[in-house]
Amino acid sequence: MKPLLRDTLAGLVLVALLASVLRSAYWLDVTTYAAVLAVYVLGVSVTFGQLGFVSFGHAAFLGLGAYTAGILCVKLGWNYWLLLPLAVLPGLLLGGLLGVVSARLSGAYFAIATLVVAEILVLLATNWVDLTRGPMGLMVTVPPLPLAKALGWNAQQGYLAVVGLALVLAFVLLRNLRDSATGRSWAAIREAPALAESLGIGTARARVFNIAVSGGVAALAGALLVPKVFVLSPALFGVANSATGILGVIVGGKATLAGPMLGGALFALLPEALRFLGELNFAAFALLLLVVVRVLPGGLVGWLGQRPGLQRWQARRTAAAEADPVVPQPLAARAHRAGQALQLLGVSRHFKGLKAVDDVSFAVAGGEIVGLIGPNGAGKTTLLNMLSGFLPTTRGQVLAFGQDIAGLAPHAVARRGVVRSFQQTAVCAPQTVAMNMRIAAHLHRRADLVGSLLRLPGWQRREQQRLAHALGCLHEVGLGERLQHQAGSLPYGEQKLLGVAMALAAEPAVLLLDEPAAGLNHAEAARLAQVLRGLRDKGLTLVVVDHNLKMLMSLVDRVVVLHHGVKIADGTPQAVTALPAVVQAYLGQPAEAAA
Amino acid sequence: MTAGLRAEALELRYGETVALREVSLAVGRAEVVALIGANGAGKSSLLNALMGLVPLVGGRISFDGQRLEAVPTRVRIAAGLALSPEGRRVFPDLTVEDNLDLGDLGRDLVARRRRRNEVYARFSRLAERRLQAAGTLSGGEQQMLAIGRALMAAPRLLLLDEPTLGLAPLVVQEIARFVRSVREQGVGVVLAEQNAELALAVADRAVVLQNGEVVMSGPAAELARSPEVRSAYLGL
Repeated sequence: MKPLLRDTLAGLVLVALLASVLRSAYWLDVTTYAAVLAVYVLGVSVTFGQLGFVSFGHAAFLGLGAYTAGILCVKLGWNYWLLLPLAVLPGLLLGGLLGVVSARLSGAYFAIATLVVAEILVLLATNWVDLTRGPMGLMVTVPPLPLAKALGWNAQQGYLAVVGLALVLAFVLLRNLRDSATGRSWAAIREAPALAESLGIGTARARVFNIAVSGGVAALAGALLVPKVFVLSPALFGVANSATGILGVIVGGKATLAGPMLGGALFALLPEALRFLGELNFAAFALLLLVVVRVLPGGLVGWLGQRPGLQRWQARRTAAAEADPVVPQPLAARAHRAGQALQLLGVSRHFKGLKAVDDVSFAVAGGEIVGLIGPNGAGKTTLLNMLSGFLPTTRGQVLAFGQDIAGLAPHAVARRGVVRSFQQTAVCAPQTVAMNMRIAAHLHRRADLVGSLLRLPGWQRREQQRLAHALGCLHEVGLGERLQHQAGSLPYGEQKLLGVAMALAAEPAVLLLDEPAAGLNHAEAARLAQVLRGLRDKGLTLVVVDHNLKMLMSLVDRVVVLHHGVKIADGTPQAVTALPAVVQAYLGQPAEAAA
Repeated sequence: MTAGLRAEALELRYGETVALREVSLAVGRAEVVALIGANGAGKSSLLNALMGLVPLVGGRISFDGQRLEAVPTRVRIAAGLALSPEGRRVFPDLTVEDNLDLGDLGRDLVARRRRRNEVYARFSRLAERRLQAAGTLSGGEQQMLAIGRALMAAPRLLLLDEPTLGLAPLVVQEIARFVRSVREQGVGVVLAEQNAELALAVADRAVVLQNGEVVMSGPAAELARSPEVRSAYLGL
């Protein structure tokens, strides 16, 4: 709560100072426009920068906000200044709607969908003449801010103060959101969507919410634009404004919040600064943009962040944050849940006639460690995908603690206590190990939107508990030392271990591990086996796929062997490895292995 | 002019972290050298540095007398090096055949077809799946594809980064046979492996890396008998 108040107050003081000091009508106009664009580009960056989805149509939200404010003023006679906060709502709604409709789209398809929405709004605004006065434009006269006169400000100064206030609030709230469970789930969706699902993050909902927030902020910017443009025309929804949004984010720096603000402001300031070039003004501006994009891939803020002075400042801040370190909370031992943890009844998966998994049945008792082996392509990963909700079964039932989980989304399966790790390394590569673990602890404490926005004490306490739990899980696999390393820079084997730690942080009762020992040498694999045994003693049930038989056989109670999608053996390690069918399909001749 | 690869005093840093310190490596013609070490010891870094995928701070690399440390990766491939990267980095949406073709930097389509057929002859599973998207292959098949793609450059020195990662024991034996057969055709191999047992069994010589430094090197059979190697890497 304290930093929230401190930052907001600091921002407000700055805004009030600026509004009082600036006297020239020209500079007031330019500054206000820069602040409006900063709000708008901040809004765009929520979807583009944080979720990683490019939108070609954010002008839809900008125009919607402007028209909503304008129509309410002109047709209903509402006070512009009072209705301003309400302008967020249509953006939220349209964003949510767009999010729901585009749920299955990604990449270019999502971008095109946003473009279509913006074009539809252009047509609507052009043709619904009764409401919008069409191409003639809707003229909106905004009365001066009543408070301005009391403070000795003119109308322009009052306008700047309000826009500045909106910018400060948008920045502080979006920053709080980014640093909360919600914001982390967006980062996870951006970097590794399948991983996010497996950790219990409902990616579909998180996505819809993200686009709604982004739309809301952009719509607010649209409403703030009204006094500046005075006449609202359908061109507000046009591609030029959408492009400003995207370019502002790129030029400023996608990975940050300061970047988009800076980028947005530049779009107002630079064309003014280049005015001396006369007609070449816009050409020069375009050239400058190209150069920035080419030379500074991380944007202006990314470049600034690499300056030695700023890096020292960053280092001091990190050091200050670590001065009060969170004590890792060791994983608490729990009693094994009674009964069968997993039951597979006639599970099949067919891909266009190929029987990847065919009529497989077995059960895993609570507290058991079951190994799943078989030749490459036998269907082991396909089976894990069905157990964790990533693939629907063609036939058959999967029960977790007696509940049918077939057909549930992966995050719903994770919330029922069945969590998997991935065969290929799946981590949020650009983020630190610590951030990966925080993302993974999503399910540990409930997400609390209001609490995280306002940084309430309860939220902060939960955040500390979440971090302590996450660090405990990291220590469990022996990666405690790597906390500040970039996850993608870890050696392969450690990335796989990090994957295990992340799955652990999602608080599973059943852990499904896909080749956790791949990339580990014998000594490291032996240590992993010890860790996994320790997890069983703490109440977990494990299903482990691996080809490191030395490690696996020393670990498991039972082995299930798949071959061509069919279960060919199920029993103790000794019994199974003696079976001729298993030797022939999988193990090969021991003499050959030694050769 | 010396045949084979000579790398001397290689130095590599990631920011402040030292990844390789004074690492030297020599691989003769048709020689198999195993790189052994724990996670993070620098095996992959060494292979990536040889290929020019990460910039060196210092050191010299030459292959068959040609200096390579300052030239870009494609020149090193043209000189006769090829890498099969760790973790089967195949292009999942491209077909098996397209993946293979990407490994050939030449423009000679007849030679390309001939090499492709050689790869198919070696890995018959790839031939069966040549028009399938690489992402739909099983782990073992993807590994074969990654190796096959490296072979498409017709290398004289093949760098294999963890070729047995995630492979069934039967397939691991196949990889071992493959390494031996490649050597018989006069191609050298640098084999970075966690499976030290296998690596020492197929290699002529071995180098043990620890924290980015060479701590031991010598004939593979000799290292396999050394007590340090046995306890640290063979788990015996």
